[in-house]
Amino acid sequence: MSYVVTNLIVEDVHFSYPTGKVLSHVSLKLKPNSFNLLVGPSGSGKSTLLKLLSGLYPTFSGGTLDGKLTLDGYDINDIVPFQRVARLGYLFQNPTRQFVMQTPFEELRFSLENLQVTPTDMTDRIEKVLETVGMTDFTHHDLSTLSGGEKQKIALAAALAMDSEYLLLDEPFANVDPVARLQLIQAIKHYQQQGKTILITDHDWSGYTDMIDDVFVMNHGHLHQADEAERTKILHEVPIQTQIKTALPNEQEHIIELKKVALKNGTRQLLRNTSLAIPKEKRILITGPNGVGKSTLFSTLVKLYPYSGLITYNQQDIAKRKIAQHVRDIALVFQNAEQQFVAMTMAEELIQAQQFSNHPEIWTDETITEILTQLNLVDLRQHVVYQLSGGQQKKLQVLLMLIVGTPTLLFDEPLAGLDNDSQQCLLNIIADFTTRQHQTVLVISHQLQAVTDWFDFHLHFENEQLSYVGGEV
Amino acid sequence: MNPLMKFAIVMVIALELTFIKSVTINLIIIGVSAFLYLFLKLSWKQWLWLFILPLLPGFGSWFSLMYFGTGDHVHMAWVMLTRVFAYLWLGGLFTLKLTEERDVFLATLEQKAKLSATFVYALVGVLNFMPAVNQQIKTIRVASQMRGQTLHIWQAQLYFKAILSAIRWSQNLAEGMVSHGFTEGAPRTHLQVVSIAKRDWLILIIILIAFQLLLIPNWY
Repeated sequence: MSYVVTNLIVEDVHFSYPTGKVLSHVSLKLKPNSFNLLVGPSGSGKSTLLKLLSGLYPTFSGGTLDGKLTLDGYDINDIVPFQRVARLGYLFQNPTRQFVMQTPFEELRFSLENLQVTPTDMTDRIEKVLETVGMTDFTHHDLSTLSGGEKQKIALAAALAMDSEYLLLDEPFANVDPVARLQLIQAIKHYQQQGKTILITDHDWSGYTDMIDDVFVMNHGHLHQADEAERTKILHEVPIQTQIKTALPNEQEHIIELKKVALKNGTRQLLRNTSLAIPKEKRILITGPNGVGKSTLFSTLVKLYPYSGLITYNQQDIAKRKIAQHVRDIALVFQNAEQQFVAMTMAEELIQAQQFSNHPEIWTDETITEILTQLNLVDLRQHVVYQLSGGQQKKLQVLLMLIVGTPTLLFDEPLAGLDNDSQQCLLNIIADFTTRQHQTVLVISHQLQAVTDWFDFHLHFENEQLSYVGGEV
Repeated sequence: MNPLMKFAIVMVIALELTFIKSVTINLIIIGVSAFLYLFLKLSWKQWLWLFILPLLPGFGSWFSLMYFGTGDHVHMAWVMLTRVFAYLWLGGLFTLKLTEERDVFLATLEQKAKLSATFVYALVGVLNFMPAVNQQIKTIRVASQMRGQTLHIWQAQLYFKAILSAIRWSQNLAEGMVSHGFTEGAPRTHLQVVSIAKRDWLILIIILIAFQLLLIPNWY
């Protein structure tokens, strides 16, 4: 197979914000037609490196770049976007952030028009990539009605359609269900077989370990390529997929009850005639494929989404409860962390949360400092929350909501995009404080390996039904 | 008819109306618009808006000219009242169908009117954002309520958060455009090439000439 190889050179790259250095002495060499994995704890600079390679930084960052970053001898930032994208495709970490148009078809058309693709080829190409990611049925759907995982698939389709030689993927599977994950891995593998070079950042490489050629490790802004021993060690760290062990709930005190509840998203039926009860002061896992309505269910429980049927909280009809009062009893930890913030800096956020805490005796300054240390956030107190990395934002968001100590907490993918250590650490903190504060916890998650023994009960959402699974098999 | 052509006709006539002090002409415009609306199959809500919207500004200027004006004030009072209605009904011919014709209109602006693609796609982005604004404000309020703080609509912090999220959003839009290959000033291909039919030009010319001829007699 012969193909033109674009030469990407990264040599002694430094990148810093006025608040501090993010990358130092970073050099990177990717073999043509290879599959590369970039690992490292959250906040170590992985996304920053990818954004620099894609040419979005430093333009969109406010930081300064030093060092050599070239594509075929030209400075990446001097290449105009349509020529750069033709060689170097990039997929954002946050799926809600990358669309311009209203529907998947329009978005892909927009991209291909920018690349000056011949109009007669366009429709074919669009249909093909949407099929590859399994989103054909959503070709003309409104993007704003798609779930996080579905948006991520469309974003990947856009990256694949542009047919660039290098593909940079920033945690492409974070919000994707296990079935779709395998499907997307296949799509990426197929793409690589056409002679492309892939660089992917991820915390969980199960399902594609055998595809990985080189492993790069980022640590506090320093990058090195793993040698054979380290590579083997890292690739063996794959979390083992184990069965979730939970029991079926029996007669207990209930906090939330659903009676004949139905949910719809436009014309799409999400939930049909469902009745069930959520036990008090327990930890409940909710799983299900992308787009099935998990996040919508959470929005419904905090009165942000219309429903039919009856939902009660503490035996009170939630339709009759005032929203301000209701969300003091049951709060949502949003999938998108930024929606949770009310102030500018981390220190301000923490003070605000402490001030409104239901358990101020637990959340002393010492406790908060200790938890921040465990989460590697302690040195970032003066940082603007919007400038934290995706993983750091997630950790801070969870901490803030724990401090507030709402009796029932709904976590929408609290572990997405976190490395293994951070996941474990965060789970321990959640378990510890929610027990002390007598909270009921509902969690939507695809990161099942981290949570085998963590939950009391398990709800599965599929085919318009929500039901308990587990118990004696 | 191509929406841009419609827009051109509406704009030229509206501009001329500003200088024409004639009740008759205004009434003719309203009459013709009403006639065209019959074919556009408006909903009753849209009809209601067409009647209600001009009332306040129309009668406002009518009253002030009628009772406080000097000189030719009675005539001018009626001119102003009918003019407001004429503007809105004329403009409605273009705007009421815009939601359906939006994509064609924007594509025409880009391809035929040679408007900068940056402007056109920024506009597309903004239009796509509009429906999300309400939901966003609602989410911001609930999110802060979850943190124990109630933001009322008169509180600056609510708007601070809203403006902040709008800024974030515009930055994301810019990054999204660039990462999908959008380049300022670079040529683009087009899946749907917009063409303006000869018939559209003909209609435009006929309407505009007919309108000029209509102006010749000395109407009230």
